[in-house]
Amino acid sequence: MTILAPVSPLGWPARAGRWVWRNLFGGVANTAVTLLILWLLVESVPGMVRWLVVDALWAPATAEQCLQGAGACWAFLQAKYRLILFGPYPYEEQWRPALAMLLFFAMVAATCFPHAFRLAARPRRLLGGWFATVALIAWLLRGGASLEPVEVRLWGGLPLTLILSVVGAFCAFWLAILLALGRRSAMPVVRWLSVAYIELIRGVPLIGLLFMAIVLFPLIVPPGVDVDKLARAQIAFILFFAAYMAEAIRGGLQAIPAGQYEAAAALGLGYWRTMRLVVLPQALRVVIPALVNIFIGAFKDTSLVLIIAMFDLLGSANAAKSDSTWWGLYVEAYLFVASIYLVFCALMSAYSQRLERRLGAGRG
Amino acid sequence: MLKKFCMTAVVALLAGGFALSAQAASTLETVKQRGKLKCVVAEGSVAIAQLNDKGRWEGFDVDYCRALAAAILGSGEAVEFVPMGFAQSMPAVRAGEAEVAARAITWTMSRDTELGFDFVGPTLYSGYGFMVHKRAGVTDLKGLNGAAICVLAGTVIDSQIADYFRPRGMTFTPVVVDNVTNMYAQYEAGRCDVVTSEPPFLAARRSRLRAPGDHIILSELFYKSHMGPVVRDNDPQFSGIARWAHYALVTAEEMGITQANVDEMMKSKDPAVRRFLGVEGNLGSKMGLTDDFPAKIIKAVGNYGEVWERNFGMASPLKLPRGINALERDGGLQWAPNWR
Amino acid sequence: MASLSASPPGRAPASRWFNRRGVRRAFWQAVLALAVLAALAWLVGNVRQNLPRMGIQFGFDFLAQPAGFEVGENLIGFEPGQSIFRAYLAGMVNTIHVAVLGIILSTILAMLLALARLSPNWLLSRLAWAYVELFRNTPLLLQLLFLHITFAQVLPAPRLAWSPLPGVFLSNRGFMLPSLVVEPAHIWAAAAFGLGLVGTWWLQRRARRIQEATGIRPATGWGTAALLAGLPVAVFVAGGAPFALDLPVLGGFNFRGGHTMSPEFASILFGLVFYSAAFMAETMRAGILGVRRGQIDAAQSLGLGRLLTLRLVVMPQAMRIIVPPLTSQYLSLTKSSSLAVAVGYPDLMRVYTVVSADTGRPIECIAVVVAVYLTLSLLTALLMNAYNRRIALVER
Repeated sequence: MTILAPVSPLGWPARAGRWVWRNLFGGVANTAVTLLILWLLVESVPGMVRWLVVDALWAPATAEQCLQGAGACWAFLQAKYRLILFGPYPYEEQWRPALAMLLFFAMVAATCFPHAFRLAARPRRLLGGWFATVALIAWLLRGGASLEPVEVRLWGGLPLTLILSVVGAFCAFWLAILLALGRRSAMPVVRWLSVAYIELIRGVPLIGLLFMAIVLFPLIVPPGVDVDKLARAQIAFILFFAAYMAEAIRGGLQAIPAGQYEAAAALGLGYWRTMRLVVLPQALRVVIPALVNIFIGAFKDTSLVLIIAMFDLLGSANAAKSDSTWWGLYVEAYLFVASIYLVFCALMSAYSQRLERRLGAGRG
Repeated sequence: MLKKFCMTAVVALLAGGFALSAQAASTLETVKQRGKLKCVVAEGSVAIAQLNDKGRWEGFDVDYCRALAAAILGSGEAVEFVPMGFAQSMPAVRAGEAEVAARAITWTMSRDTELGFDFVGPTLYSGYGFMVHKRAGVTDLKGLNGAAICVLAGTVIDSQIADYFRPRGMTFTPVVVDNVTNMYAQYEAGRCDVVTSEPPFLAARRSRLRAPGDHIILSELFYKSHMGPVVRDNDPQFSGIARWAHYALVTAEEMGITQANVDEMMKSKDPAVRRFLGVEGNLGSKMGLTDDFPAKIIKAVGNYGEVWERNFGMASPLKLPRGINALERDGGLQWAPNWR
Repeated sequence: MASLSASPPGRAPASRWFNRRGVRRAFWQAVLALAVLAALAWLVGNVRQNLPRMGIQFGFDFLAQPAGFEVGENLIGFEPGQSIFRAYLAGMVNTIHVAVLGIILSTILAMLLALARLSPNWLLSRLAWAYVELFRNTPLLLQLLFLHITFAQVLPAPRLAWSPLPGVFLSNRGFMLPSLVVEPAHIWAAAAFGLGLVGTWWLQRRARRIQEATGIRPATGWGTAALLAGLPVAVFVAGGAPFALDLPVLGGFNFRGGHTMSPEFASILFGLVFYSAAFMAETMRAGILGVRRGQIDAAQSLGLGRLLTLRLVVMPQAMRIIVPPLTSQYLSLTKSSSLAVAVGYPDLMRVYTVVSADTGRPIECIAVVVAVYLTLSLLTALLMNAYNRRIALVER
């Protein structure tokens, strides 16, 4: 009888009950674990809610009141959120980076979900859109032509984090392709140089590279050459991430069967054409999820510029806590920043998993 | 053929590299050409250099940067602040990435001589004292044996304490804290038994602890730490300008010239005031500045006393007394050479 | 499409010497090598020109000079006045200390998390999922700063220390743990355990040989147990079974006795462990899920029990998937330990910043750091590759 009925004859409360029984209370150990976790939640959650909402202090509260109070000091965040989001960017002009970020997010959404924006069949339009957006963002941030010019050294907060990671990953990608090809090249000098570069960079911590960019850079360029700190940190990030991306891309190259190379050779394609038209399109497709993961890592690692005194998202949160008006408060600033990182990274990794599933399905 | 071309390109590249290295102009010329003074400040240090809610730089050392910029370029806004960690700040000045580093650097002999810097000031005088909880029952430095002492990261205080303790057979545990705010928070939380700083700072901080009466400040001082901005020591002209920008702040306070009354004082009959503000004489232009550069400094940031009050004193959240940083005539150590 | 009609190299008379593959390759390699050399020469030239201009000396003689600073906690007992080289050494030992402990602890935590993620208990697996997502998706530096403030400020003073277990005190002065008073019997017991390991290895080898010769594997369970557990316990009891703990006791300013873990050390260690374990747990989970269902079914149809299936079929295959990514996670943990600079633990990078500011030798100071990290990374990679090769051999 039950075999004939694919749908359980039980109502939803009974089904839910069975699910709970099976997943939470099946067996002694299982029940014990469930009870332990429930106890922990009962112990911790109400306290957190009290701190976050019930006892929290809002705007007119001063630092003294906050330090005496028992809840979160949202007043501190209300005073500082713009500093944290935009760093030392001129206060009156902060609408510009805000608008630039909105544009950027819109373009990212259009690129990630081309079907929803009817762009799937129009890659050219998408590419054009990106060129226009990048130019627009650059204009908004730098100013000039009827906008107040803002120097690069004043950029900070979330825009700085995004610039360091996105520009860094974009440039590193092209360098990484060259390095990955170099590492698999038949020419020994090219191979050795690529291997030496990749292993050298991967052997050193990122913070070491950033220190070098700050302290050593002026020593290794001719006198009089002046490059701002953002560009130096940017170069350090590009050099760093390229080594890691190169290894990921090499994995993709190794997955290409020899028959593909032979077929390309049979068609008479030279080295660069073989790579551009046959090998790379397949190899890169395989490694997209790995590259997205590297990008997530890069996004978080840009916070290291705090140590070289740049005001990225984390750096400006740190600057916010060392203001004499508000000294003693920090948790709220860190929580704010942590939740921004969390949302960004979680979205990206969810997207990467989706991509992985789709690519996996396509390959079969 | 191609090889030859590549070699030529390489040689050209190398030659280009060296051609760029034409001898740089004097520091003063560099600043004037750029139209901005590059000044290294701390990346976030309470009352020394901090970003306010609107992302504008404020603080004691920030005001020195503005004063120097006003002296050279006529405006306190003509500064490019270069935030840097302590360890990178001095190499940056030496490498020419900034003209001056104002981040409460302690004046030491090796920094002044071997490492090639000139110090300005001292703009802040300080001697170190200890604050300790009454419970510990300590009355003098000998009682601090075995204590955990909070010290600020990147300073020379811990080795100074070590120099004092070791010959006396005493030990201590340094607790290195990254900024002043954390230091007092950690002391109050009991992370360290003793906190060390200048006595007036200790007194001011004590008043903001939860139970000020429970803490005592030992009367003995153990170490002096005089701080000031640093500049490269290879350009005497610029070192002089940097020093006299500070003296202008002090002299203005001695003469009673403030941000509010400086325009009034320009009309003063007092020859000393007239000479100082550049109404008479050409002291400024002999240095490569304008004669009225002190007036521009005062208009930008006020006199030394005003700078102090705004950042450390009663007009600030810290409410520190002037202490040894009062003018010489008030029993402090701040003075300026004669303005002639 | 000119290349389509090109004849194979070396055969056609029309092919000029410089069109030969070998010659062209040699040419391009020479160009690349020259370009790299020229770039290096240019950089070195700039440095040689810049150093005198900035009044910076060059040379490694400063390593022998006495250091004028404290390093703070360190395992080799460094004091100011000893050479700067020794200060670097103290920093390096600290880095290795954090890295080794971090690798061990994070591996254990990751295993627990991976098991929790795979647990049939829905709440437990969701909790582990939340942990992994939270720690993977926020920057390590942020977690470190947060932990440091928590350990150093939020925990109570020694007098009010929180004691979750008898003999364990958590205060803002550090974590005080009981330590074992080491006596000769302990060392003998440890030696006996080592002997037991060698014996077990010999026993297993013998068993395998007999199995290969006769097809019957002799039972080794009891022998192994006797060697690994019985022998050390017997030696320990024979030595009088001394078991004294040095308990931390509050006295004067702070705790005395026991083992103290400073808040700085605790924050860099636990920060690294919490963060890395989230990544490692995912690696392990993927490895275990990566073993095909059919393998397990096959093992069970052969009559292997649950434990034997896990030991003989699942783990060897899972390890092969897990080890390569785990290696790179160990390496990245080692390198991330350099973030100790942000929480004030005197690791190699922190010593570098102090030495660099103190001596004014930017190039040499960073060169030492780079050399040490490269050596550490290469050593770890070599070790793990050797292990990887061993378990990969099983594949045949």
